[in-house]
Amino acid sequence: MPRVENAVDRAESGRELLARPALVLNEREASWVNDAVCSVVEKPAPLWWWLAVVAFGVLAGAVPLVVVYFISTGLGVWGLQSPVFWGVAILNFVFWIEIGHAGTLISAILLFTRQRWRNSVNRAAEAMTIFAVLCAAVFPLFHIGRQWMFWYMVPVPESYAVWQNFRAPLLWDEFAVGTYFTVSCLFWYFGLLPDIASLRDRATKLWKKRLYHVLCWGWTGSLRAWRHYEAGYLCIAGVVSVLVISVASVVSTDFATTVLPGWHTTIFPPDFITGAIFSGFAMIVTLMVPLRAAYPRLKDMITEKHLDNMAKVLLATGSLVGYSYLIELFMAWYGANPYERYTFWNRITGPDCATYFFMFGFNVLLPQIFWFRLPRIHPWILWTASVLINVGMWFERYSIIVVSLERDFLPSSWRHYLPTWVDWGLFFGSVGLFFFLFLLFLRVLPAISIAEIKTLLAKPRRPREPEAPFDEPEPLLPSREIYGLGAEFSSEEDLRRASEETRKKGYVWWDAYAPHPIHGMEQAMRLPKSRVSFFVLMGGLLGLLIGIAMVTATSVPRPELLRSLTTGQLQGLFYATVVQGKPYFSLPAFVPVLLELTILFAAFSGFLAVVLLSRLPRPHHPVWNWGELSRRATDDGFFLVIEARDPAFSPAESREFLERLGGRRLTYIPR
Amino acid sequence: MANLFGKAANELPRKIVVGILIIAALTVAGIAYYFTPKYTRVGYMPKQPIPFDHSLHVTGLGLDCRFCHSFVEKSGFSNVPTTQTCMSCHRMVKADSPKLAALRESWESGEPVRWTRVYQLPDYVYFDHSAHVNRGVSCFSCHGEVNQMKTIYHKTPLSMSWCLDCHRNPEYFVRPQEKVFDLGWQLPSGQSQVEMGKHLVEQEKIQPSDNCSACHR
Repeated sequence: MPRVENAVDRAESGRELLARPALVLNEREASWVNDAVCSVVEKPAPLWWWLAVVAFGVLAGAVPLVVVYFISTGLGVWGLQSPVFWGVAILNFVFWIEIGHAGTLISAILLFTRQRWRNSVNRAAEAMTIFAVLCAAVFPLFHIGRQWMFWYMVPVPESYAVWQNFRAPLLWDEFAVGTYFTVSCLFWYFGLLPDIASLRDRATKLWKKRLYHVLCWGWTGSLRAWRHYEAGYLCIAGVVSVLVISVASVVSTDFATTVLPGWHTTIFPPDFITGAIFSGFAMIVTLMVPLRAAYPRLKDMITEKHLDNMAKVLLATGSLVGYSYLIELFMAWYGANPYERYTFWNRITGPDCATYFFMFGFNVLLPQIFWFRLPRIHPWILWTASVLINVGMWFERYSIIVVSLERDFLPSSWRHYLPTWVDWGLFFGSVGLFFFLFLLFLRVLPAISIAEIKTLLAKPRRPREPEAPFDEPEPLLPSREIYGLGAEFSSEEDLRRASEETRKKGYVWWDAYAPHPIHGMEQAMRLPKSRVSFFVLMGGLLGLLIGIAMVTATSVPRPELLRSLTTGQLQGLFYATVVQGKPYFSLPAFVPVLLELTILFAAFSGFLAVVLLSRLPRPHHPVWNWGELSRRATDDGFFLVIEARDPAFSPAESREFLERLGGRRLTYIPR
Repeated sequence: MANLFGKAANELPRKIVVGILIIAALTVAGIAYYFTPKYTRVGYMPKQPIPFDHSLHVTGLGLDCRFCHSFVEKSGFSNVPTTQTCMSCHRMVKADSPKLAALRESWESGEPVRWTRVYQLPDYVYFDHSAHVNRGVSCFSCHGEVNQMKTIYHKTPLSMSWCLDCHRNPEYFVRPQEKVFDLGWQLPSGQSQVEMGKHLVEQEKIQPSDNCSACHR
């Protein structure tokens, strides 16, 4: 049929003309992706890695030293002096937590909006999130002075009979950052499951194999599991997207709910969100450009297209940040409040005016170079700009926090703030800690999401021929001791077609295995819609209900029904205190805590639903008795296994059936 | 690779989950029991330099609490008796008892007897004895049946929720003013504590504060 072939050819050529730039260059194959990514972990560490890890490790060592020093001496060694009670410590907290946000943003919001270029940067970005939040957590944790009393912030029943004040921004902060850290770790780990399975199947030492096997909950690559996995990943990404917006907003309310001029503005939440995206993207570029340079093979996956996109995000968010700087100035003038006006005048002309100009220059003017293509795709220009942007963002926080506090309402209390060597030690220590952890991560876990990259590979024109059939061993004679019959297929399209035929033939007990999810597989296998989303909803509602019960019971007066019980018998619940003149139940003030609990429960129930619906964890599975599958199901193999317990199964007939479908390497899998 | 774990390993995850649940439940229960003042303070019975017997002095001899703790009605601090107070009797009674050697030594040297303190509130808590005993709160409510103790020990938790129990529900605890120091006093049969308490609270205008600053000044 020449006409049809022609049509196909023309369609192909048209597709090529219209095609977007490929996200994986040089027509790489699945097993190449495995090699390229896993070799970073498996090969001995190069010299530069050792040098860098020692350098940053020494820098990170400043954190424990400084911490021991100021816990044993007292917080007086920090540079804090009235009226500047929030100095570099809070500044660093905001700086790091906002850097963390872009990691989640890339992985969750870009997944949600189907931006496929995220696939090669999301893993490193998520790791960056976790390490940045860890660095951020250092500061509030030690800022409280009596660190061993930290548990006072945790809502547990205790003999003090007083619960936390859930209407306070600093408690919102604790809930937001705590939820953010746990859910980010969960999301990161969830994405890692199939990749850890890849590492497992490549490992050569038994203890490593076993360790990875436990870590990936016994992932098989079964398409039935992939279905739940994809649904779960999307659901968790959905709740994480809400989370990242809420955390940036909550951090900003620490400032915005006070009456200090320069802080008391409603623009703070959106301003902090854009600032977070901006600084986080800058940090990802700071990490990815050297990573590409150090491992040139990764350049095929982190392409110029990726750098270009990230630079465009930097341009957009940098301009947004500039807009909010200008709006702040305008509102200070237009609001006609002399204190507000003076604050901004002081930022621009006061003793710390340098911070304002660093901030404006690096954050607003510098990103404008990304209107041009060359700086966008030239790695080292982009890298230098991104480092400077992070410096500028640090100065932005300095300008907001310290410069506003130095000169508040009372000129008699004005004082210039100078951080001490302890403050600096903590800050540079946290920088060291961040890069140190990232370097360790590179050598322990795959820095690029293997399974997701494979879905971006160019589809081979012709189905790849499996290796020559003549060295195929004759399948063992079937005995009663077999688990099932397995066959390999040469492409995901073949596997999909074979699955459809197998289902139509009337087989029930069978499964397909692939290194990545295959589109159209649900229809081919006629699987019902995954129920994961239902469990996510239920988990979220449960979290919301628990949250409502908690904030209500700890805030409203004792109901008449419980009149006869004493405070101790009620674990201190129903102990109503008036806070800031708000009503006992003030919904707006409770929203942050309720939202964070909803997200926390939704994310964890999503993870558990995926694992349990996929029948994991399963340490032992008979399909692994087939060496070929256990080696290549997470690499580049597409397998179909019909179980012997299927009523329609008959060793000879099923074998003939699978051969007719194009199956190769037919094997009777021992039980 | 064949299988990394045997078939029996498939039972492991369930067992591990059950194990973790049991350990978590035990940890929570253990903390809830052992880490609260109900456990850490109640029952504290230090060895005193002189084996002073409250039951002998109060029930046996009929001494009033205020005989020794003389400022309890007038002062925030309930004093421990001085050596002179003890010696006002013990110069004549049991003057040669070997158990009182430390007392006589103190009498001669002028150094006070080093009693070990049993009830001690943290520095951040303000507490006034006179405010309580003058409003119908008996010694019994906080110190227990001292009149029957051979050796004094910590009777109540003194935790904040324990304080609040009474501050929020005084009618459960107050008694007539003249019975405050009568440790053996029992509610007359036929009367209800809550009814009597409510009446007393109203009559004496007892308004226990539950502001933070009432105790944490």
